[in-house]
Amino acid sequence: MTHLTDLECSMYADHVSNPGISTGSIFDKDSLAALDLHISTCSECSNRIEDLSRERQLISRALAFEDNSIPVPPELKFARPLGFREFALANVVTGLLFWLIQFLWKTLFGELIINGLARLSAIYVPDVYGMFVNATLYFSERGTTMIYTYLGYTLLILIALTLTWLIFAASRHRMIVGAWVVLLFSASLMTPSTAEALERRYSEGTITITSAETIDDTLVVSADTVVIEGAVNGDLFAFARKIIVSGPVKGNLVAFAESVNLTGEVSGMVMTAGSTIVTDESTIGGDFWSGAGNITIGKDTKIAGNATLATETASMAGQVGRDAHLFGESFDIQGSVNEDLVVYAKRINLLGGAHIFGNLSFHTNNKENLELAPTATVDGEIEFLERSDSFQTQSKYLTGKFYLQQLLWIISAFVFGYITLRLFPALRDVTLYGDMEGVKTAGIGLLAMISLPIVAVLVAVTFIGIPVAIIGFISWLLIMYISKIVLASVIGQMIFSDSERQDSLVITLLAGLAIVLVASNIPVIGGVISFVMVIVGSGLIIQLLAEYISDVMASRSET
Amino acid sequence: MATNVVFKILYKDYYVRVFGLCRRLLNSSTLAEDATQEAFMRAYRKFDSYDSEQPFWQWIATIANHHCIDLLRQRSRTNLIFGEEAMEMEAIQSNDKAIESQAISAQNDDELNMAVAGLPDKYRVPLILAYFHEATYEQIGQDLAISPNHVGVLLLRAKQMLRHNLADPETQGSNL
Repeated sequence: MTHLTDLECSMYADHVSNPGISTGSIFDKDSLAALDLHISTCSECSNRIEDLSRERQLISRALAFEDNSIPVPPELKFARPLGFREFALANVVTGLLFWLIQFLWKTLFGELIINGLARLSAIYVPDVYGMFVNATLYFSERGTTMIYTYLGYTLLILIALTLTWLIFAASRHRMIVGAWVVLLFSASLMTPSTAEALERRYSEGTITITSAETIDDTLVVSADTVVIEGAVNGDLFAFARKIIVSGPVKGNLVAFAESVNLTGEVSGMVMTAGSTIVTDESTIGGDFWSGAGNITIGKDTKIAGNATLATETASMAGQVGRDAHLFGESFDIQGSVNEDLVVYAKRINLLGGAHIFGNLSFHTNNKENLELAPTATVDGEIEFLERSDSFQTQSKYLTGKFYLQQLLWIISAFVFGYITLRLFPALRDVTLYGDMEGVKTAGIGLLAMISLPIVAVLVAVTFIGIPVAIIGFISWLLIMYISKIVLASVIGQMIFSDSERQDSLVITLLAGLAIVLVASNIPVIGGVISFVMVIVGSGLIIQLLAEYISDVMASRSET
Repeated sequence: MATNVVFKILYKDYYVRVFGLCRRLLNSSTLAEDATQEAFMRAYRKFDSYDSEQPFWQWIATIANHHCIDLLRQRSRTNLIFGEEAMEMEAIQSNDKAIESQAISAQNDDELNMAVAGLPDKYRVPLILAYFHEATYEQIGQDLAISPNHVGVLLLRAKQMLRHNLADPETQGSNL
């Protein structure tokens, strides 16, 4: 007679102790019947099965022992501490999203909208036919490149995601994973579009684009001295000590330098900042924005759009196609402004030959500060507006306006918070820790507070991406605003933790908001407290978002 | 809010048991605290999908099992944390029958628990799942990504090692 093997005995004992444990696949009906028959006739195997069954019961009983002295945490901690990896991942996802939106905006809509707006601004009324022609021409010229670029970017994103996934799968060291992810994200941000390729030139000396040279892409140039004599068919971004632009720029010009000298033609808008800015014999197709110590707009300069100058002193002899807004100390105007002139300054001289076709609004406390030459002309009205130089010295706590503002804040925060927390009840489930986890939450909030605007600025490097950057910036402001409300909700729930009122959104939110309001307005330290509350609240929101993303990914991987 | 209240009651009732399961699977109280927390968090989020006809313990224990096994896989250097069936079969010895079988019977609960804690992951985990969680061979096989027969082999090896270690504590942990 062949006795049962050890394995058969063990499995059979499990089967006897708990018939459900080895159903089906271990013993089929026939083999189970054969085993039953053998065991019923073999005392050795029968005894052994009995020993094993008893053994199994002993192990089960021992394992079932519960140590009831283990303390149960008083409440669920639903807010899981966020690790570096999760935070890096959240950043990458946000970045990729921004990147994709920017790309779509840039390739599909950016130029069309800008072209359309430029056309609208030129003729003041929508020219549907003109826009249709522009769009058709645009797609016929660049449609193929756009498609290839889009596919290229999609592929790049897929590769990046795959690499990220592989790194996650391969590495068990969170910091390394996090570092890789951040590196990958940074590298991806640096990758330019093939259709809107970027040409970069850097030098510690002088960089010259000679008149024989043509740059077909957007040019980013940084050097001690930058000289642009050749044509730039895209945008020009120049950062230097001294910048001289005499060649034509088909796109926009952004120049930051100690000294900027512009004599070329710029089809788009010009944005400059520096110590001294001079334009002469220059034609600017769009608006002109400039901030400098001294600005000189030569008499042969033509600005098709608006001119906005913030400077100490300025001399403006050229033509401005639309409005001019001047902020500074002293302005000498000899040229023409086709529409209104608005001035915030201590002094303004309208020299001979100056011609303002619209109104002149001068914000000053003394009408004598306007000098009008006999041959200077203002077709519209001259309006003097009082300029307030005095500041309120009275304590804000002694004014009724302060209390009215606080009342309005708490009402608006309550209404907004109530709706938000009703719509997104998960925001009520966040938990604020009092230990190091709380510090980590604040740290995450601080990082988010810093990183989101940075991402927005990165997106805004190209002008077409500015709307996306604005959306990002608004989101950032929204998080900053909601952060105090979320924190107020948490505080309110903590206050009523031992009461049935803990579940009342109205009571907890109102109580929390009242505490947040009072804490924010404590003299001297109120600002610091307010800042801490904002970063803690932001940290809670970011943690919740990251957790949500993590859950979605986990549930996808499970399915 | 009603869900919150119900879940809080379940949480208080089952925390110790889930913690015990996690501690036995992970062999660490610290890791078990986090794992228990995570298991309840996952359960809370999926609470809408919980079938109240089924025992809550089975549901939460399954969630905890999955999480703990994921953690074990993460901390393991190899995917074959439960060994290869053929090799385990070869390792089965048949010289421990009568005497060593009494080794388990002679121990009290604390000693047995300590001995179980001393088992390697690949033997301890199926033992806990089978004799604590009362999971079937098929369920354990699915959770551990091994065949039901392999589960039976591992359980046998686990008990052999338990007997061996209890009978001769000096050689505890040595390869049988």
